[in-house]
Amino acid sequence: MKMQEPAFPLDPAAELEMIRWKQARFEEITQVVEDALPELMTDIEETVASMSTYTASKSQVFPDGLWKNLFEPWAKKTVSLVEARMEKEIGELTASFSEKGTLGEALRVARPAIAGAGVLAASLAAIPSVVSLGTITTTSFFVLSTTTISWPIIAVGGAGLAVTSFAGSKGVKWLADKNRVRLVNRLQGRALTATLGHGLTPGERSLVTDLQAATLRRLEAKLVSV
Amino acid sequence: MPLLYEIPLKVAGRIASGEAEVVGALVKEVASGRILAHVQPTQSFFDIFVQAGGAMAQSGFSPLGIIGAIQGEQIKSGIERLELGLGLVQNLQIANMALTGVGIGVSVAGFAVMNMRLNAIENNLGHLRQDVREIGKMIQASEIRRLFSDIRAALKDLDSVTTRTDHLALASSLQRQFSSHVSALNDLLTEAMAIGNETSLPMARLDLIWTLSSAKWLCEGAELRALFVSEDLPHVDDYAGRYMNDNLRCLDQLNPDAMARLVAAGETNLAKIVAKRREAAGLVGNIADGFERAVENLSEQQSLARALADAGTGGRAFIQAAKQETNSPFLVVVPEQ
Repeated sequence: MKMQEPAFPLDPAAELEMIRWKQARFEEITQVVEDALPELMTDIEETVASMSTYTASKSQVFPDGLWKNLFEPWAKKTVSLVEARMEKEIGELTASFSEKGTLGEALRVARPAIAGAGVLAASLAAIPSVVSLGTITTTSFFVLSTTTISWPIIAVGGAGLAVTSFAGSKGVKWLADKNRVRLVNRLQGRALTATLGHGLTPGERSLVTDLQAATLRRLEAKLVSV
Repeated sequence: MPLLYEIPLKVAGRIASGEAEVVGALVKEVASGRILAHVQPTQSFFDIFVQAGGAMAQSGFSPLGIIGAIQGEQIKSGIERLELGLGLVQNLQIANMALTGVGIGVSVAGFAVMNMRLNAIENNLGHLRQDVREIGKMIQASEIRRLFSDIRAALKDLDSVTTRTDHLALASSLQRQFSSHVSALNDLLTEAMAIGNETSLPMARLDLIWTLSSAKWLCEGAELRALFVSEDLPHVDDYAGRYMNDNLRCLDQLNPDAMARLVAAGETNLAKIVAKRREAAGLVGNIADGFERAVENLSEQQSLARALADAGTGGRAFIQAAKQETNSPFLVVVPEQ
């Protein structure tokens, strides 16, 4: 494996601590999003079930508006949850480095860790600096979720996803016609792709990778400001 | 500097009072982080370890799929019952030692044990043939077999090198051989860990990464042991530092979260996606723990080489003492202050 030697070698113990912290936070962010997803899936089912046949058919052709209405409020709430937890974790990590008198080394270690965050490159490029994690909900990610993640990809990747998974639930009983089932499939498939990156390569952006990148940016900002 | 078989009373007292703590193979002053002593397991400890842990500990390697916390706990409690004392056992990373083969201090295990470990790794690679083929653009299956055969031959020589009359020349040659094996395994590992263009990943890939990593850690440990025997302590320091950096890069590249989400991408139902991802996350977490332990172990060896060099103690004499000791489970080195 090729290594790039820094001009002044980094402290391996500090680097190890930073990598493991980063990995634990990435996992935690994914878990928060996973735990919140059933609510979005149910919202999708119930909303589509309560639509008139005409509106459901119209949404098949122009699904972006419906998607935005369902996804935005859920994402804002989920991002707030993640933000609260990450702020606490970043505060604790910074305090720990400060107590040990190794804040300077922590920043030196954090910068290459952020710059070299491999599969997060696209998300990091989209989030050059972060004041708070919440800002990404109203800026880059919503634009991404309705433009970059295109419907045809979701339609293929999400085929058979949702309704089978929710078969037997109360909402499904209302989904009598094929149009509604197909619409639920498309929306839930897009939800999985947009949030967890389901069906994407690791380098492609999703809500999870954007939140992970934003957390790294927030950590960097915090280390600089202390 | 004398090689001690008991932790000095003064150091033991500081551990008991909480002023000092045992971290891996190091006894450190809590306030300053200063190293008070290096603890090196002897042949006696290894005999006890194998006896307590049974077959799993003998192989020193476990395929990722059958790792269980219970196994680690069984080995740990077996060793704890022997009351080796001083809170050492609680800090020896017993579970990790049994599962990854990455122990503490310098590896002094004999050929029989090292060979069992290598066999377990090679057998597991055999079970993962399909995945090996997928990443085997650089190294074909026959080359992997040849690689393991070469590693086995080198391990046999490593076992006897301390007592050979030509130990300096042989140790130097063995170091170069293990260095080349580490490099070959790194190439395979890099391929196995390159997930950038994948949209889903089979669970078996995790096992393959674990298997290749275990073989790499085995060879890194063997190479450092050869350097200790060749009395090249400055290069132990240098190579341990390089391999630490290398394992840190592997750990960073691993990205357990991204890898676990890729494993779950084969599922189409939210509940199953979540369950599969969490299962995979636990397994990749074990691999990450292995890399972390490898970094810590290399750091311990780097520090030990410095302590021996400062005191003018030979690396070969140190390895011999640890290998020949059958009564006391630990050898202790107290750095000159």
